[in-house]
Amino acid sequence: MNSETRISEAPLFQFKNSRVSLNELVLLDYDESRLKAELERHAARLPSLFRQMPVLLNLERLPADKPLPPLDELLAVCRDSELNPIGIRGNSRYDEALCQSLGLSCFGAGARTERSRDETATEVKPDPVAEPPEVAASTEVVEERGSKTRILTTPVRSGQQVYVQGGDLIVLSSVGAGAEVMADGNIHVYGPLRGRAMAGVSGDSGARIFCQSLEAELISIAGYFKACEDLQSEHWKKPVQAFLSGTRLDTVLL
Amino acid sequence: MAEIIVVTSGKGGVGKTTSSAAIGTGLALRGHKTVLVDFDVGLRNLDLIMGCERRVVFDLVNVINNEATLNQALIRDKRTEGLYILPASQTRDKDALNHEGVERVLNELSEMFDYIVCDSPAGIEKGAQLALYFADTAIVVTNPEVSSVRDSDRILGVLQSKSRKAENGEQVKEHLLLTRYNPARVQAGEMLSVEDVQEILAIPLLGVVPESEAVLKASNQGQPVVLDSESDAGQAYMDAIGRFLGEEREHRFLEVQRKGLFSRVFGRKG
Repeated sequence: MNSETRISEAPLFQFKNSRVSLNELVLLDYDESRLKAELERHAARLPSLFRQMPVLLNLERLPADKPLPPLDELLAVCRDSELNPIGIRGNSRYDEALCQSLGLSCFGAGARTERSRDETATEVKPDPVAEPPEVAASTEVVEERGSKTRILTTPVRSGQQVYVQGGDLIVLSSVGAGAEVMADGNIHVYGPLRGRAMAGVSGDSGARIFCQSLEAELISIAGYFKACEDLQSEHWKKPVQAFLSGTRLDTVLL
Repeated sequence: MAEIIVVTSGKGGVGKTTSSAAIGTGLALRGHKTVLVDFDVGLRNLDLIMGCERRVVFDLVNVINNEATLNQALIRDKRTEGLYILPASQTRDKDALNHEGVERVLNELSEMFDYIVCDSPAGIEKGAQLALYFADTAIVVTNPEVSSVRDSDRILGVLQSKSRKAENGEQVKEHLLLTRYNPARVQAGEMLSVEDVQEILAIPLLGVVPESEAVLKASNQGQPVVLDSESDAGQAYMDAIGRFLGEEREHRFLEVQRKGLFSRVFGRKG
């Protein structure tokens, strides 16, 4: 009986998909004292960046013929320099149980490390379950420069991803089929929107999407989405804005 | 310094090699010293289209590996003055290409020629990326159908993010070359129109090459189609080259050709 009454109560939590931008510490070689000195030199130059910055350790480029650095020692070096390693990217060589005992999550291989900056901006997609809660709050430090709104004047092509952290995205041209535009804030597209547009990706349900011609594969606000099939209504290929009413994604002619 | 032109498309089978051969030959016909470089290592075709397959001794990979000099590998075209071909290797794969090697070869070619036309392999992997990395200008070959247009859009994105020009904050000049265009099928609604394609890709139109029997015939004879000045495709390519060199030329072959009484009675040789 007891358990049944509990189910009917209001839920205590919900899982939400979220994307945050993280920096990776890519180790090219390991030497404890040298690494320590170099990190400290960096920290002295960019102290604001190193205030408990969460990082992923990327050990994929360490020379394969050398012994692996002891994980606890590596973590200590990082933490001494005010870095906060939260996980290992593409871990194939350390024991998973060891990582777990040291509080590190294992992330997928960084197969896309050679991509351009636009594309890597959204590369890190931490598993929402594995992600420690303090990450979202502290990554803001990393992107704190200049205006947060981004204006693109050229078409976003198929296969390209653009993500604006903490701001709006304005595209003066088209967003091609197979392209993805994302922003923590609003998205404006002044050409045809043929790809995917995701506004309010970090949970802002007040974000909106505006476009001159709605031909999208998918639009989403704060995780609530409509796919192409549901969009092909009377608003198809018309100037439209999309916003959330409660949990319903509405489209209205501009 | 030569201008480096990459002929690319993303999708395979749209006419990259045919177009490379036509454009290279056309530029040489217009008096510019031109070299055609086949980047499709492992699937060497350009030499066949150019009809010089029996004269291939050394290739691009040999030059990159310093097994041959550029002069040994370059094949002089016998029909067109000022045209050379640097063939790809058929026995290797794309991994035989490397950044430094390609750069060195292009730099050397750059001092000898006015135009370097790079025939890119299909896809967006290493081979295609190396072919477009050093480009000053891209000619994006597209067929009037949705998958080809989508892939062209993708390759335009790659050009904007992974080329040397992009890395230096400049832009690769982009041109659209629409091939295998069939006005009758466009009219019947079976094929995308020039306007449809341009609307999606939003880059300047260099030319529209009609679907033509002359192209297949020319390929099989190892004769670039521009040398067949009677053919519609050959004329369309020469128009495109004229536009490339900055001339104003009206687009032809966009409408269904009405057969006149004369040609209906006597027929016309394609």
